[in-house]
Amino acid sequence: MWHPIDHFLFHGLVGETIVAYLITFVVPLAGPALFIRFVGIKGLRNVLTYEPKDTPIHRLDPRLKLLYPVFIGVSSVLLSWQWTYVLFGVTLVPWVLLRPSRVRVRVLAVIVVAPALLAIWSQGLYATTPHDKLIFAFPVTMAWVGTVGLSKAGLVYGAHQASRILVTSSAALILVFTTQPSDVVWATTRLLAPQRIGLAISVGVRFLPSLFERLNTVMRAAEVRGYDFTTPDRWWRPRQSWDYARRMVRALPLLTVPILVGSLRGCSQMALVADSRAFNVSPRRSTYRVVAWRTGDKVALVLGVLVAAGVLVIVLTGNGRF
Amino acid sequence: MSADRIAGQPVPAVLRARVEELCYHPDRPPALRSIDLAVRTGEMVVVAGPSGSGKSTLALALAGLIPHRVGVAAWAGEVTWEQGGAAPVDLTALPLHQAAQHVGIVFQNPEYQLIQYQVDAEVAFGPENLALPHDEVVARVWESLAKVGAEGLAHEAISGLSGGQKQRVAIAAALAMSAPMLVLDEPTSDLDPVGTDEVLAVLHRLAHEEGHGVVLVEHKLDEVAPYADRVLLVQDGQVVIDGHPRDAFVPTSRWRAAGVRPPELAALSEALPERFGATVALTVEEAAGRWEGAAGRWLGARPEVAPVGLVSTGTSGAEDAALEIAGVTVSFKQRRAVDGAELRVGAGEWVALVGANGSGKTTIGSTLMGFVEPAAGSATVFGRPTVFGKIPKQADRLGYLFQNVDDMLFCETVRAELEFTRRNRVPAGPDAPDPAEVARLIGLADRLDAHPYALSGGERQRLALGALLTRAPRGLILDEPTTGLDEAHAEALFELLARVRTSIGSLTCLLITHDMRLVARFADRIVVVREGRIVLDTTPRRAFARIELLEECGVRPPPIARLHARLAARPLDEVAVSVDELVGLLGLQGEDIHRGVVHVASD
Repeated sequence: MWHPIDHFLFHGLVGETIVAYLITFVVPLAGPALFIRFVGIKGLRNVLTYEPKDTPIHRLDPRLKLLYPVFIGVSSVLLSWQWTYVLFGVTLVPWVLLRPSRVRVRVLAVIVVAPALLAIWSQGLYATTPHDKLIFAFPVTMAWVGTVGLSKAGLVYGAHQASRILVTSSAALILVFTTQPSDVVWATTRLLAPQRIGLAISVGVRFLPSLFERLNTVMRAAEVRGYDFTTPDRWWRPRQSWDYARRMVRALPLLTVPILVGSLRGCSQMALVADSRAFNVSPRRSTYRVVAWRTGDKVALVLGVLVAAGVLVIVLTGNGRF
Repeated sequence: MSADRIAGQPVPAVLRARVEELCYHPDRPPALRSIDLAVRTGEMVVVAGPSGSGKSTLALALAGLIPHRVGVAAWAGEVTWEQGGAAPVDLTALPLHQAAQHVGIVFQNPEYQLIQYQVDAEVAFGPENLALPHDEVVARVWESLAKVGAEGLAHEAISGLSGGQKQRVAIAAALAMSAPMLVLDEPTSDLDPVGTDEVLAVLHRLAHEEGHGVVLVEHKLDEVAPYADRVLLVQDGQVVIDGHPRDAFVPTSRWRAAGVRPPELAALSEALPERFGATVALTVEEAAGRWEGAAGRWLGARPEVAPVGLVSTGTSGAEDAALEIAGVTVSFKQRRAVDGAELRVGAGEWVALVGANGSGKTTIGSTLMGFVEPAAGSATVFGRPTVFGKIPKQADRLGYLFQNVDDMLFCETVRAELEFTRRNRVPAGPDAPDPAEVARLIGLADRLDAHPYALSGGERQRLALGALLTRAPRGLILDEPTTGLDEAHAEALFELLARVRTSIGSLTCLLITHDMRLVARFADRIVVVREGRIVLDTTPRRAFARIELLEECGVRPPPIARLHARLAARPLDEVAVSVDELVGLLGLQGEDIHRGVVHVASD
């Protein structure tokens, strides 16, 4: 015997439509809401940075830490999703050693878990086939969203994808949280054979903040000239929103010119400086910095090799795929 | 650095440039011609000249970058490196990294010559590229950092360094290539007096203690004259003066005619031959020594010569406030950039805001303009409160001229820049002038179809100013408007501002600058900022008498003001701010001197 409320929600067109709307929009909107509430753009910039601490992970050779997310990422592609979740468990071990601050854990949870949930949910709705068993079939009023409903097979497929998001984020953030930018640049230039790529990465890290600063200056200069970037007070009025969008689009070429000209002038000077400092003259550069190979590095390397061997065995024995 | 020795003394190596002709464009006059210049290691040579005279081109040629790395239309000349009895090496024929091991070049803007993340990595970059052994690389890094006094910065991120520190690191990076000769193209133009002094002291030590040769292209002749062994004036692509600073600066009329501001002390020495004879004093101490034993109490007399230049038509800051901040506090990343600042600028007043780099001057200007939101306090512009972020609305009352005017130019022609307001439907007030009228005012009426980037530096600055004027502001904030400009261009800019003031009746200016001679000449009031607080607000004459306080704030009064204070028998309330004023005081005779004495005694 159906309860009247159940009947309304699952057997009436209106109720089914309400549930379908909730299924379609609550989770996708919850992700951004969580992000804005607990992280925000400024929070992301402040928290996704190196956190000075004295832990075994911080002391590791930056080259090992740079290889770590690469290895984990490749493994997550080779392994089945069940094994990838096991690998995710393995990647949590460094976090235990790291003991990040509560603020960072909160941010970490949001920026890692929110995309994973979104992946599961979107696949649950859209990775469906006509033979799938639906957990909830959408009524005809929801035909416009382009799916027949929420399927179990889709959710499982989403969980496959989520496993890879989780494991890669977990490994990459260890690098970001525990390695100084200068160490990342150094490790990159040491590991990459082509000097040009190493220099490009180094210059990129060095100049990214300057580029944002410059964009800010040029936008201010345009505003002083009278160009308006402020969001309209009555944004819900189509005319104001349309004007705002048009101003933004028209600003792109305006702002690009000074930034591009400034950067090109800077680049030609930078090229002169790099060439005058013998860039790319010798096939193999010598090194100023010597990173001592310590016990911790050896232990990490051995553990890494063991995990790699495990991954290899799983893949070679055919247990990796399903 | 290796140098050949004869009887224990190092034999100087010589960088020689013989340039018959160098042209960038076939249909324009040569950028350099008839140059025959030799610079030795162990000497510091200063190259001065008006904008566009060819001094930067000379620097590029001396570093071996012309003709292969910097494109030219015509080149007839040679640049050689001569060391001991070895055959001269043609620098222009060497790969750049080999030329850089003889002559290192340091450019004006340190931003684009530092390409690594951390200081030690930056200095090590060259030696690493040369594949030198690890120990050699380490030795070069620390030796170079020690030479510029930057060992303590080795592990700092470059983005966190001050301008002076960045420029010292750039010099260290050039030295790490083992370059016995350094060529520097206006390395101090973006630096405050403290940063400038840091760099000049390092260069002086490199030349006189470490045996390096230094060629320094520089506008700041007051600051650099005491350090130089030779001074060159480049005009129309030629070296027209080459001599020791004691001889080279007189007659000063030759420098003025070339559009270059000679050192104040040179002008004073020339004006008082009975006191200085045929030589030129290069430091305030040296000049003061000419009055040794006879320091005149009468110099305590108030300067009565009328102020040179523009005299404000405005009122004092106490009434009719055009720009006002009250109790403003601004913080960036837990650091207080401005701390409870109070400032009133009267309508029509020209006020200079001075202080060391990072003292909060630009933040005060930014607060008035609405670029930054104060954590406490308020800003008012012509009676209306400044609202953070509502910049376009505020810009019809107050314009902001950025230090780098290229950041303000967006269009493809001068005409389009001046019609920017109309083309982008920016509401213009009833007083907004016609773009053609503005073009005439800024002297660009005949260049309306030119591309802004085809204009000279001075013309681009006038265009940026003109673009602001199309919104008819009643006030302007000028952020380091004369950086990199020679005297003639700086004068032209302020004459233009005077014309604007005449044409619109009244113009309030807040001038953010390190150029104290400019302040002395054009400002009604000077406001000194230290660590976000306003510590002095008075007339330039009174401010420049407070030398110790100013030095603590990273501000250095003009040499003439310092000399006046030094000569006085007691601390003065006001000092002379120009050569003419001081000469006028010194020229007091008989009764006048007596009156001066009486005046001092009655104080």
